[in-house]
Amino acid sequence: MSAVASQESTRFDSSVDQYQIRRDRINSVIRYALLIAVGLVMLYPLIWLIGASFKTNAEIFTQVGFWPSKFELEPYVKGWKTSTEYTFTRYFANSFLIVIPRIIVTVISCVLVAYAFARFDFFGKKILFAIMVATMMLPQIVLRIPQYIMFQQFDMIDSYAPLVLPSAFATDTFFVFMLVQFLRGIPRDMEEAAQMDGCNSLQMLWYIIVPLLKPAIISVIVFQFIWTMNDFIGPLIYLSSVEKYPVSLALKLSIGATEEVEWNSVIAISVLALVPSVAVFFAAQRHFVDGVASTGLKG
Amino acid sequence: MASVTLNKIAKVYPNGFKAVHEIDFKINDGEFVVLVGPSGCAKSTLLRMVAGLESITGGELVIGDKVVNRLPPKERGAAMVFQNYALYPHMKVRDNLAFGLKLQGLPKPEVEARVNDAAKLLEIEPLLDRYPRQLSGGQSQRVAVGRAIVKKPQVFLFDEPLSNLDAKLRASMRVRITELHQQLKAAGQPCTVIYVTHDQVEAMTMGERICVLKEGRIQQFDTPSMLYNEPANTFVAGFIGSPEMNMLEARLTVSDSQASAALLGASTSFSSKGLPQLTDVTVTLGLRPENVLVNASDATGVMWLDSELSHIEYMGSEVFAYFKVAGTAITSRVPASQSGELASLKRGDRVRVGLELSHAHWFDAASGSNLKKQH
Ligand SMILES: Nc1ncnc2c1ncn2[C@@H]1O[C@H](COP(=O)(O)OP(=O)(O)OP(=O)(O)O)[C@@H](O)[C@H]1O
Ligand SMILES: [Mg+2]
Repeated sequence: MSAVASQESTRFDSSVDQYQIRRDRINSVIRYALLIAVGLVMLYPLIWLIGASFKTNAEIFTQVGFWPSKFELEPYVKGWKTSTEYTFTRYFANSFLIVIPRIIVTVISCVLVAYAFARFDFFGKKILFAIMVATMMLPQIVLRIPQYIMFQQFDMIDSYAPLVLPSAFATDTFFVFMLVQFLRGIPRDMEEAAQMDGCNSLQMLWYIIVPLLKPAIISVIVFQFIWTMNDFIGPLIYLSSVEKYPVSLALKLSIGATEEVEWNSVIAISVLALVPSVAVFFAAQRHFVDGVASTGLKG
Repeated sequence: MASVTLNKIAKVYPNGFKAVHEIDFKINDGEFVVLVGPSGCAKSTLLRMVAGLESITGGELVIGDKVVNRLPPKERGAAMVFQNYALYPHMKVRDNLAFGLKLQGLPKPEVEARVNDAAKLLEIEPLLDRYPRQLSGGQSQRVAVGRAIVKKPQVFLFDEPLSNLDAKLRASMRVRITELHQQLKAAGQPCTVIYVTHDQVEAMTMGERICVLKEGRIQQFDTPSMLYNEPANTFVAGFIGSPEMNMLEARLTVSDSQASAALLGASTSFSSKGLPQLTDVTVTLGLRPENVLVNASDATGVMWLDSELSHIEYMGSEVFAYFKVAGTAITSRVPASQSGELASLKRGDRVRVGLELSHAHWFDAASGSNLKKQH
């Protein structure tokens, strides 16, 4: 009697289980379908861009679909050559000549300043920090003219110095702010232990703070890379010789240079110009997401 | 190889709060001293001042024969174990141990030898290549101790190192740390230990001497048995011992060798050993629960009173019984083997309890200080 009852109940349980499983599966199918649909809508411009980069100039404006009738590599080849005397090899190299030094000085200066704000007591700290945060609200455009005049007096126009040098003084206040917040979330015990171990302030920074800040520093690198790579106004204002142009300016150049714009080449180079930023983002993704999501340590 | 001397040490925090009030004491070379007191009594503050993590705002701190008030932590020859261990999360256990030594610029073989010695001593050799996040609480704790040991410090500072462990592990680590202190002494590397805890059991079992603090002032600095048997004041008497000492109000008269006391509506007389001359003064009588008898015996100097049983706690080997005598709560602690008829009693039953006044502590009612110590 009881055996029958228990059998009954297991059959009942398993049917409940199966019902549950089926419902879960349907749920997840719907969920994923929705996510994929929204994702596609958001990504469509990018997909179209990539598709269009293989099309002929005529096809871009005649065909609606993003799938090219024929995969042409010609836009890439032509675009890379450019109508100027330099190829995009030069412009990419230029971009990196700006981006890499800028990232280096940004990381060094911002970490130092954030360390000072987060861990030291000095006269006027609160006011200075408030002023620094306030400068974040200042529109960049307000600073352009005085900065331009200053660099002109330094005789630095048409060099990369005006693009790199400001970052060496922790003017990227957003990064300083981000690092300070991250540091505030790190308990001080480790630093006290390091102090007992005989660290001075700089050793502490190098051996303890920097490793703990790693996720935040990687976020700084990624942001600075993407922003600098995409910066258009800065180079436009300070650079006058074409041989010094970064990718962002060179792209514009290829639009304006000829009467009839070779849109497929412009698009092809745009696609290539996206590659470094996307690559950096994916390379750093794991740490980067860490840095944004958690500003502390476990235990 | 260092004594630690505090001369009128004081601490005023930047917000104006005076956490430590002119503290004086001397810890001998190789001694194990426990700082104990309730939360907020400035144990940590005191320890961190010795370590050099907190500035000293008054007095003089001497380690060995050097005044170290203004020296940075690394020059004080002290190593500290933090409550939450503060291991470096990005370094393997081995590097956690070696970090301080490398900073000192010790040669590599020496660093390795010291790390391995410490690892062996603490039985953490298999853990050397793990990261701190891969350790259990007890293992982290041992690594934290190891990080202090490798430096061969003159002074060891512990700030509630066991408070994050479960009761069982805490008990075994207690023994381990005490043994370690002995071992190091035997190995010719004696070190002075200052150990902070709020747990009186830890204090009593580990300390060679115990410093009881309250609100930034020393209440008593003495051996565990002296603290237990001759508490300097009502605070120490109440803080040390479990269950807490019974504190009763009494009127005391002492003349020559005879003393008589009136309490709980009765009076008795006993020998006045060590008490100052008094005439009918209100005092506080302290009586440990084990000096409250429940079985009639013919011991002399016992004051028998009628009481009402409130409740009973069985602790296995012991029984704690809570009574009410003339409206005042009294606790008794009896070995289970002698609890006799207690087991069959229930709440509200009348019991005769005997107060062994010969073991009583007498405190000034106003200041709370021990009358026997006041001369
Ligand atoms: N930075 C500070 N500024 C002002 N007051 C402080 C500061 N740090 C601690 N205090 C105060 O000093 C007193 C002693 O603090 P401390 O941390 O030494 O207590 P403790 O005995 O270690 O307590 P616990 O057992 O809870 O750790 C407390 O009253 C605390 O509020
Ligand atoms: Mg504390």
